[in-house]
Amino acid sequence: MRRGPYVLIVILAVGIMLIMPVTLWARTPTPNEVEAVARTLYCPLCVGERLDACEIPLCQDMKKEIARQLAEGRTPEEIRAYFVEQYGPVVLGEPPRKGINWLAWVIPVIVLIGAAAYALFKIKEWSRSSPEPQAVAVVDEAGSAEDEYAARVERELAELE
Amino acid sequence: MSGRKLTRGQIVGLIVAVVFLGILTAGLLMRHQGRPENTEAPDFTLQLYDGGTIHLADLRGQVVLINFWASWCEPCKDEARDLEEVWRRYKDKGVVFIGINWSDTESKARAYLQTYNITYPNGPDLGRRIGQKYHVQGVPETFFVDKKGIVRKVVIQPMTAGQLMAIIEPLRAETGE
Amino acid sequence: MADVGFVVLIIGFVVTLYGMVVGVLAQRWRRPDLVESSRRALYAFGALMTVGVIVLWYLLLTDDFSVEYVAGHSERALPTLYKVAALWGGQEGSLLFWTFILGLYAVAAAHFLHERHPELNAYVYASLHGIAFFFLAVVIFAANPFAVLPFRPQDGNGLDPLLQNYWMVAHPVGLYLGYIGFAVPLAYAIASLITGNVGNTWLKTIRRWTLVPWFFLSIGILLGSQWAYMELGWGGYWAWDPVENASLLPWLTGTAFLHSIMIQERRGMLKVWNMVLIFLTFWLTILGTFITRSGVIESVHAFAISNIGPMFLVFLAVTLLGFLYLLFSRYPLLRSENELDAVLSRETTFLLNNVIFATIAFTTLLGTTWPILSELFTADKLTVSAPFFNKVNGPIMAGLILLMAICPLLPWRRANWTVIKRQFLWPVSVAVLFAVALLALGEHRFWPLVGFSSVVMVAATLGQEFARGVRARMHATKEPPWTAFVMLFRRNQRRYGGYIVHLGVIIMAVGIVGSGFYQVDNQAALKVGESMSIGPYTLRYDGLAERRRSNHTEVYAKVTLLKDGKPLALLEPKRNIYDKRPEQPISEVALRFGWKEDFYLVLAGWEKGGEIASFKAYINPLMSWLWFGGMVLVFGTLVAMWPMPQRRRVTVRIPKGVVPQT
Repeated sequence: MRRGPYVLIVILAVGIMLIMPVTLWARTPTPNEVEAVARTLYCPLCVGERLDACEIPLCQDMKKEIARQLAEGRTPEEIRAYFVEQYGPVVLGEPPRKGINWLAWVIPVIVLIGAAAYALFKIKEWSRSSPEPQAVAVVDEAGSAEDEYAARVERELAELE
Repeated sequence: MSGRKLTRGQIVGLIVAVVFLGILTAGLLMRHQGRPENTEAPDFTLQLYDGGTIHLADLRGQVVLINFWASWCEPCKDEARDLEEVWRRYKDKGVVFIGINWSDTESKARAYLQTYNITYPNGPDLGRRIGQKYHVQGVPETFFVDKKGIVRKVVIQPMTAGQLMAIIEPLRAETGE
Repeated sequence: MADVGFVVLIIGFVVTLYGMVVGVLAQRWRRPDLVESSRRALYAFGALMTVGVIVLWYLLLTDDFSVEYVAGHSERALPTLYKVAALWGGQEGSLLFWTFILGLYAVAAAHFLHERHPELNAYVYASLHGIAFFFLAVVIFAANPFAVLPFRPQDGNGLDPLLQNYWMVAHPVGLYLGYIGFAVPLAYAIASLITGNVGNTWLKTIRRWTLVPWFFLSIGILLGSQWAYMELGWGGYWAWDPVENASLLPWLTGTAFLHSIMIQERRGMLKVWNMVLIFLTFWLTILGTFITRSGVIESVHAFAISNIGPMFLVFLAVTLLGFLYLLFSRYPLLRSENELDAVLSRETTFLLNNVIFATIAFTTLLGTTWPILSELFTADKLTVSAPFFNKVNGPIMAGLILLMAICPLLPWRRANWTVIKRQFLWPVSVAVLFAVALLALGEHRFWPLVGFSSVVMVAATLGQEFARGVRARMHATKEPPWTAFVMLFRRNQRRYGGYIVHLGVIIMAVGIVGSGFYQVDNQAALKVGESMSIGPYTLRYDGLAERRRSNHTEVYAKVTLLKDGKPLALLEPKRNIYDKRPEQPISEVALRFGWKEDFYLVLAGWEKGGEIASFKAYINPLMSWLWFGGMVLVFGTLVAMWPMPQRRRVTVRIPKGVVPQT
């Protein structure tokens, strides 16, 4: 009787059985991977607490869910989207960039640029109408240290109460 | 103040101040606004764990108990069996129980339902939208809605079967007019 | 005994009402004796508040649990230090403490300032009494610390575990000494607006005074961040939490004010800005109190929700609208005496400074109140956390650092190309070289490059300023370098003290960028004897043990820290389990700090009685620079505000041909 084919079958079966745990092991996410995703999310119940630091039961469950989904092969982006669907955009920790929430991002920029532009515009307006300041020995000239000190003395004299 | 007119900048400043104070006032009012009680129950649609959906408005004419819960909530576990027991008594008798899973994970929620043999309709509050309408701040919270769709009682602690029935019975006895 | 405390509050209520009315009448009827009476009433208020606080301390230290506040915030086993700190550990006590500090500042103002500007005194006193009256009303009617229970419990509930550490003893004190101190400059601003005496004299008095609360507020905020770093266990120090933001807002406007008044002193400009900034600095502290205590915004730090919200809202509305009314009616008096001469001038940078600080404050306020706005205008109530603030405020603050470098390099009034070339050459070259070096070392990310290069530019600017000053002095007075250096401070302590503060700020910036962009972390569950590595370090878990303290159990892990196989230290990260609140264990981080980096270890949990323990380890590069920079900032502030003997005579050699400018 030829044993060859049976040996082959046994080897094949053992091989298949070994591959399963190996692939499973390869897909189990490390604590670091879970943590990396958790650091980009926020606890839905506590205010302002990052998921990796949060210790309440819900957050522990969320971290286990992250591990589970990473093992399934989902990307961090998909996992974040999943949590947004579950708990709302509060888990992102920042306003989503659509709808009214987009204003949260835009308004500060408008305020900064607008205020600065307005200020500079006003200064230009004033400076156009103001006369040249009197010739004073301030740091306008490429002065020597002596002139500089003198200028400083003058400034300090001016500041004396 | 003399009848002097305000400059443009001053008007802007005044408007900003008034608007900001208005926002703060609105915030305070919203904070003090409690849960809906003695007003119409906010409508919602819930996708159920075992398929199908439930629409609150469709349940007019029946007494509805809405219970917000979560698998990580210890007091919820205390009342789980009581809720199921009372449900079995009143089901198909003009009373509907709806369980809304709030701020939870699906696998844990399903396991919870299995553990306590819950048979009444349950579904996740996705995005916590339903909870927001009911101003839910924690779990468990139970809302009792009468046949006309008005929230008659809000209970924010776990209940026993006796307490549940004490509230449901009179609501059942009312007519739906 | 509690009744004594309550009676004291009622008397104080009456006294401040009297002081407010009398102060106003004193001005209208021109009665100096009434002004004096109002002033005496401030002393009485201060004395009464001192008694009130002593009474509450007595109740806390004698474990009088019949008083609701004591029962709620203390316990028999609480260490004495925390019984003392429990005075400000809860809502009612902290509001009483707040009012007590207001009493201290009121007395100080009445004592030290009453001869400076007699024409303003009546309304200054009336304003201080008005603020005191409001706070007493809140304490008496909505947050009474002397409320008594119908029975006497055996023991109290204990102090919140998060508060049982040294930082939480010092941090609120620093903050309150900061917040309330700004009431005095505000009182002066209001008095000057009402009486129409908006000249620059009171500003000179106030500017040194304002440094004191600013000093304490800065310390308070730094201590708060240190507390967050050491106690919250997430490896960071600032989460842009609503309460943190509430403390930052007045600091921002206060800092802007301290800079902006220099322009008013020098050129008589930005008067409206300064009035608004001084008002906002105090008003924002009240707003911050409202936000965190009324429940309008939920917060990790939140006190229990209470009824004080509406009272604070009314006070905010009345003071804001009242101030605007005053400001608008006195507007003509606040006209600028000069105009800005050129876009490229130091004055412009100060104006931009105001704009930037205002924008940061605005953004912080916007993000903090976003939950209210989003609930009003959309279906979702959205809370905004660190990512938003870091992404928006971060770049703006980087711009501020750059401005810190540019401003001292520009001359007053007008700059021309010769000046610019001379001033900017060295700082810009050094910064660019540094940026190139960083790029060469492999750092390609935009923000660390910009952040570090700006810091280097500021350092170069500061160095240049000091060097030029010393050289000039040495040349003129033939002093040795060290004497010249010290004399710089004596001659112009505000400027050079301010430069030290700026130095402190950039050192802090180094710490912020370093720990923000280069942090390394690792987490693992280890069996006894197992190791994990992070960076060049290895951690070996040697076992779990317990220690019993007066009101809690310390569970600590023994961990050996090794580098290249050599043991460096024995670390003991802990979790404290408090008897009264076992469901709220507090993590105590094991920290090993150094100039190059901090090693930060957290015990996250354990199983099987300690057979397996899970850890989180962080390496925070340059983190200590943040704390060191903070100390430099504090030192610089002391230098700037220290009372120095007034200069009597100035003998100086003025070279020919120079026209003195007076």
